[in-house]
Order: sequence, then C-alpha cells, then structure tokens
Amino acid sequence: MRKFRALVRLELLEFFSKYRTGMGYGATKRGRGLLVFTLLLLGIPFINMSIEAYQRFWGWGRPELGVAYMTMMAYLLLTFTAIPLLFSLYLHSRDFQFLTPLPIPTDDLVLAKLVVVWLYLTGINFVFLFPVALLVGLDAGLSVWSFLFSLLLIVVTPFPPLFLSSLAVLGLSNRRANRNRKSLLSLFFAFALLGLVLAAQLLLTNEGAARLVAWTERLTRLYPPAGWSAQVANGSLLGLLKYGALSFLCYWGLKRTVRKLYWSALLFSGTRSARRPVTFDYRLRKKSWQLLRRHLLLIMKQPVFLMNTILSLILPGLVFLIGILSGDLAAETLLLPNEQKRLLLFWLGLASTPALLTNLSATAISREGKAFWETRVLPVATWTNLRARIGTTILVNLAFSLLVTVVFFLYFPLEKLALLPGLFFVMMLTIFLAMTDLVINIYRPYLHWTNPAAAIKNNLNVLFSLAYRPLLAVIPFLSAVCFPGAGVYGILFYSGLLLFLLTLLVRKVLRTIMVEKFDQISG
Amino acid sequence: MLVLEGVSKTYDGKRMAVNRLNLAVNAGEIFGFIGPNGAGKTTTIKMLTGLLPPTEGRIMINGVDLAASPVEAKRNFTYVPDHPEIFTAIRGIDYLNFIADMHEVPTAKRRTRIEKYTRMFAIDDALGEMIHSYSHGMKQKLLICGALLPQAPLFILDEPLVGLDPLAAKHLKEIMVHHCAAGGTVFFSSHLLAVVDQICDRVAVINQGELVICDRVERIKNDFAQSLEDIFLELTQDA
Repeated sequence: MRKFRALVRLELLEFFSKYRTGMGYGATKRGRGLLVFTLLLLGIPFINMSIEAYQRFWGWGRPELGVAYMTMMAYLLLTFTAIPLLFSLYLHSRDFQFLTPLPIPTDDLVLAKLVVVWLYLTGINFVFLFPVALLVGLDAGLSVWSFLFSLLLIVVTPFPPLFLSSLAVLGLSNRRANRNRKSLLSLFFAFALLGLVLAAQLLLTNEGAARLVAWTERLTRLYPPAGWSAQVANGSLLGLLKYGALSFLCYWGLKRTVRKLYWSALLFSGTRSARRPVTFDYRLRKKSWQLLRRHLLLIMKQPVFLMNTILSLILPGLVFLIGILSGDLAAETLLLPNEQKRLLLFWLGLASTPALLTNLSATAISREGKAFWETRVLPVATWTNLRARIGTTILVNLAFSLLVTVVFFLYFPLEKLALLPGLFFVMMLTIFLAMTDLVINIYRPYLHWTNPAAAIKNNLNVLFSLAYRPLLAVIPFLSAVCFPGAGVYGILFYSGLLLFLLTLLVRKVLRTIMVEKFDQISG
Repeated sequence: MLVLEGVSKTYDGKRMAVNRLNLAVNAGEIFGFIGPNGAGKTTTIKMLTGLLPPTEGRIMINGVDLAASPVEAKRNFTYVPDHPEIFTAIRGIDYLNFIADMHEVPTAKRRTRIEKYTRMFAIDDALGEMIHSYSHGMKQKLLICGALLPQAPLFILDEPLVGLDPLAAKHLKEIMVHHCAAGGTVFFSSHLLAVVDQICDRVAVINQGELVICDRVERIKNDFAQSLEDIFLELTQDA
C-alpha cells in the first residue's frame, strides 16, 4: 500500500505540476497557492450553473429534475474531459518506461493513474453536481443521510463516464493514426467541452419550462441512472443501491480496459509501425513560402499555440453570438434600417478583434524556442526571416477578419459601400499591429522554455502588446477632428491612411534597427 | 576557406568568452577544434555560423565577410549543432526539403542526394514520419543529411558523432574525408581525441577563450613526444 500511495503521489505531482507550469506559476508555496486559487475561480461558473439548475427546476415545481438534468450534463462533461486525459496519461505517458521495470504490481501502476483522473473528475463533480444535489436534499429536509448520500453520489458518478471514455480511448488507440493526432484530439474535446458548457447554460436560460421539463423527463426515462441520482439526492437508499451497483460495475469494467490501455501503451512505445513505401515531393519552393509555412505549422502543430490562437480569434464572435442567443443583444433591433451605424460598429469591432487580440507577432520569435537557431544559419536575409513572421500574423488574422465579414454581410443588412473603407481600415490595422508587435518580441525574446504556454501566455510581451492598443483610439479621433465633414466612411478611410503611414514608419524601423537587433539574439 | 581575425566575444561587457582568436582553415582540410568544457568552442562556432555576432574581429568564409554579406557567406557552409533541437512537428522529408529550398538545391539533385544520404544513414524509411517520433540518434542523422544536402564547401560540425551508432559514425568520417579530398573543408569540434587524431589534418586547442596551440596533428605529437590526449591534458590543465 505504501508503494501505491507513493505512486499516486508521484502521478498527482506530475499532473498538477503540468497545470502549474502551464499557468506560469513557480514550484513554490505561492505558486501552489495560486494554482488552487485559480482552480477555485474556475469552479465559480460551474457552481453558479448548478445553483441555477436547482432554481429553474424548483421554480417549475420539479427540483429533483434539476439533479437528473445536471447528472446527464455531468456524464457528458466528465466523458469529454476524461478522453483526452486518458489518452495523455496512458497512451502518451513516458513514465511507464521507467515505472514498469520497478518492482510494483502492474495493477498498482495502472490504478495510480486512474486515481488521478478520478480525483480530477470528482473535483469537477463537486462544483457541477454537488450544489444542486445538496439543495435538493435541503428541500427534502436535510438529514445526515441525505448529505452523506449526496457526497457518495459525487464520488461514484465519475465511474460510468470514465468507463465509457476508456472504451472510446481503447477503440481509438487501435488506430495508429489517431495516436499520432493527440493534439487534434485534445483540441476537438476542448472545444466539445466548451460547446457543451455553453449549450447547458443556454438550455437552462432560454428553453421554455414545459419543454425543458418534458425533455429532461424523457431522457431520464431513457437513461435511468439520472433518475436514480435524483433519488439519491432525496435520500433514497434504493436509489443509492441501484446507482452504487452501476458504478461498481463500471469500475470493474474500467479496471480491465485501462489495463489493456497500459499494455497497448507499452507495445506502442516499444515498436515502430510497419513503414509503407511513400512517394515524396521534391519540388523546389520559394524561400519565403517555406518560411511562412514553417511559422504557420509552428502554430498549428503545437496544441497550446493552436488553442490559444483559435480561442482569441473566436472569443469576441462567441460573445456576440451568445449575446444574440441569450437575448441580451436583440438581433431584431440590429436589423432596423436606422441601426446601420451601430451595425457597422459591430462589424468593425468583430473584424478588428483578430488584429487587436491575436497578437501572434508578439510571440513570433519566442514560439520557436530552442529551434530558433535553424533559420539563422541558413542563407536567408534577416528581413526575409522577419517578413515571414509578420506575414504569418497577417495571414491568420486577416483570414479570420474576412470570414467574420462574409458571415456578417450574409446575416445583417449592412451597406455594401461600407466594405471598401471598412476592409481598408481593418487591413491596415492588422498589418500595423503585426509589425509593431514584432518589435516587442525582438527586444524581449524568450527561447529557453520547456512548457509552450510560457512562450505565449506567461511573458510580458503579450501584456505590453495589449497595453498600447487603447492608444490606437487616437487615430479615428484625429481623423474625425481633422476631417469633420468626412462622414463615417471617410473617417474610416482616413484612419486607414494614417495607419498606412505609421506602418511605413514601423517598417523602416524594422528594416534598419530591428534587423540588427534580431541578429544579436543568441539562440 | 575560413579565416578568423582577432575575433572576441564578451558577455555583459565583462566576461570574455573568446579572446582575440586568429585562425585560418585552408580548403581541403579537416580542422579539429578541441578544448575542455566552457573553453569557448561553442561560442566560437556560434560566431562562425552567424548565431552570435562577435564583439570584435572579422570572420571570412570563402572570401566573404560574414558580417557584411551574411546571406552570401551562409551559402558557403552548413552546420550541425551539438544538440538536435529542431522543429519536430514535421516529417523528416519536410525538414530536408526545407533545408534544400533554403539552399536552392534543384529538384533532381536534391532527390538523388536525399535518397543517397538517408539510405547511407539508414533513416530513409523514416522520412515519412514526424521528427518527434525519432530517437536522438535519428535526429542527429537527419541533421547531418540536411547539412550534406546542399554540398556547401564548408561543413561546420559541433560534436557530430554524439548519438551516432558505429556504422553511421564510420560513414560520417568517410564523408568528411571524401569532402576534403574533393576540395571541401571540415571544421569540427569534438571531445573524441582518438577521432581527431585519426582524421584531422590540423588541430586547434582552445582554453579559457584563448588559442593555446594550432598546428598539424603530426607536428604537435612530434614536438611534445606524447599522445594527443596527454598533450591536450597538459595544455589545458596548466592554464
């Protein structure tokens, strides 16, 4: 048992140290405290949702359905959370290599990892399911038993989703292609989770009472454990027995599947796949294209970089969409003919946010990390090297701005005339910021990171680059003051022109002072 | 082929990593660059490859000033570092094509050379796989293939034999010898004094940033009447 405890401790340390370093906190007492504080902060929206579920269903006279609803959501949430975790802990873990030769029973090795996932999921359950279960228990006159039952409910609920996840991972792990697409899987499940949480919240706030109650009842009939969980929260011993039996069965199955995952992981790490004869493309390509491709791949192939980029690109659009779906932002008023100016501002705001928030250039050098030396020893002019980094930022941000524009013009009756000055302004803003942000990274390169999050999140470059953005408000203000009769489109055009002139200036600085400064960066 | 004139590197304006280094490496020569850890070998190599600007002095590669015409100078050499830290989320073939594109190697030649070198170093069947799945030795071999691909006149190799299996090490040594026989130049640093003794025409010993000795291997051994290992220890321990 001592060995098992030591193993669990090791696994927990490794698991949470990844989170800690990912958030940029040090391995100090303060760092650990900050991690706990951050996790608690992240739990607040879940607690709110749980309480809201209780309040809604209580308001409709069926509080116990709140538990059933949250149980079903918890099953989905925990399954989606567990799949990438199991993938990472079992199939992509390197510690099996040194743990397996140790005199420890295989079951202990396998279960120690499982304990980590179970603890993590139980933690989620505590903020997601426990509040609603406790409140329903209180409704039924809180007794020691119903409190204990609610606690048991939280502790055993992760087993069925874990079992389902382990089956899914086992199925996926049989295909080598999927094993090599760990980053894609992580990304898919991260967005599935985000979508699920949003959907759960929107359903609660927007769906009509009768429909949601009927929908929950129907699903509870189809999936009885959700009903049993509601009975457990009400203090029913029979409900607890049924729920407990199901969880025990799932735990039993889970032990077997994760054992298979362990053997599969060992087999996978020790062998290479049979190599298929492949034909390669040897065509000569332009240097600038190859450099651009390299920087795009640096973002796309690193899950942390990709996730960060996509989230900062879609977040403003998502907020706008949620605003419309939740009714906080009335779509009907935006469709009114006299709302053109407001609509124009919304479009410009959304189309400009990639340039304003996705400050890729501020980390364009840091992202390369220890591989920075590669392009420095090649016969490539420094300016070409810098241009590829700027080009990557412009390409990503402008592509998204154009996508937003197409969607916006499809759904809202904006004047087509707005396209020309609007896009000119957005384009100039994107180019200007892509160039200026690179100056920051040239002055403050950070190449010796081990955790990719440190390269893009936890350095001051990103903050510096965001800090000067409010100053850009001066540009349209100046345009409006200098050209009072220009109108909205005129102001946009003159602002774009001003940005163009500023871009020329920054370009000059980059080509002279910054090129020299870049060459001084030691790889 | 390679000339260093009074090259120095100072960190933070105080710590002298390399002090007024003067070296001339001739075409057709295998030049060994040895010294204890922290002697300034890697700093010197970083300056030769353009990764670090010298605090003072001049570096000429094939008659081209590295500081004045870096692109032209870099066309004349390829470099293998002591650590295979490269962008690993691409396939081996993508890495080689990238290097070939940067050195503008034409399609037909690159195909022949990629096939030749990757077969020689036994990584030809792994070219379609992601580099992050490669072992340390395979990454080192890929870097070596990348460095051989453009057939630049000068190879700069920092500890190139670390991580290579005996057959690959043998091939690399043969390639170095053939390259020099064809008029090319190899500048390489190593802690493996037996290899330096075996293949180098001339050797330079650096210690605490300063050149201690630079001469033909045979002449050094005759002058000191000792093995290269003993000479190295004597020269670097006294300082």
